[in-house]
Amino acid sequence: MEIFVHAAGSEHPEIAEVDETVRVRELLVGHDPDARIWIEEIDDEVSLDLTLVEAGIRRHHHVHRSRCHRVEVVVRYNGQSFESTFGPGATIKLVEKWAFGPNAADLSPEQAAKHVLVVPGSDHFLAATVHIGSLVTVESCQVTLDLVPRDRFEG
Amino acid sequence: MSPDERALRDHVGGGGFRAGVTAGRWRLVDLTWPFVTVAIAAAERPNSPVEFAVRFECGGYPHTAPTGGIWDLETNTSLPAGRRPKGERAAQLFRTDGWAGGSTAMYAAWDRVGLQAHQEWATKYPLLAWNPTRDLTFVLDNVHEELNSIDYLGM
Repeated sequence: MEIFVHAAGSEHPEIAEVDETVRVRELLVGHDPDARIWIEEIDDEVSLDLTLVEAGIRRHHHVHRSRCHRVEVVVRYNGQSFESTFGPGATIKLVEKWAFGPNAADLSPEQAAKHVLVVPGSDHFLAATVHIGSLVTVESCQVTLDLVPRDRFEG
Repeated sequence: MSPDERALRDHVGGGGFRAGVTAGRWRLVDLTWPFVTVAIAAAERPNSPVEFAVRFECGGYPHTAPTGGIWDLETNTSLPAGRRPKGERAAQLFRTDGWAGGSTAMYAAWDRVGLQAHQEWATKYPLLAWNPTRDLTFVLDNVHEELNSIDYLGM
């Protein structure tokens, strides 16, 4: 079956063709042996000794391979910084829900629709489907994001 | 196969594009080089379609930005003005007010025609402007976001 594997270093997942009866640890072959596997949007890591089907991983599901068990997220907005932690398989959509919400920037729905998250210095907005664990660097398990207005083309 | 066609086919077969397909965010309708037609899912609105098609011309991809106009899959022509998406941002993207590129291109910095008409956009909107490191999913992500934002008003 085809599944999508996300990891640090790329915002797009890789496609993996795997049998549902293989163990989760097979997804680590050729990668950091200290890494673990998470199912998208689920905080708890998956036991490496389960088969994919036992772990609830089905065709076209998204998983995340990471050495970071938690990702510390700092969002900067209007001179303020807000901090929270997420599992590495959390999507930017989930991070936005927190960042735009009352525990962080506290934007109205109309304001939220006009704002996006961006990695400082990068050349694009983060798509809602990107995993936060894909943005960590080799050195740390922390990600800093800027909350910025979405441009409207003028001219 | 030419390098530009190979690059496009590689991206369409890659994890980013495939993940969008399996998530129902878009679907490939046709790829007959140098044209690729993709139907992009839109938020549910009264009396409106569940998707809009965009037909891209991708010659020179990815060094040259693709250009794409909203497309009528039934007649295989540009979608008439009365059936185009409404709302502040969606209507600006698929203009019907006489802008020269309105029938075949998007009014956006990720579109070749939009960018040629406003060369300052490359520096004014670096987070949205096309550059050769991008791929088609960058455009699809942005169009999908516009068709699913709260200011999209349907057809």
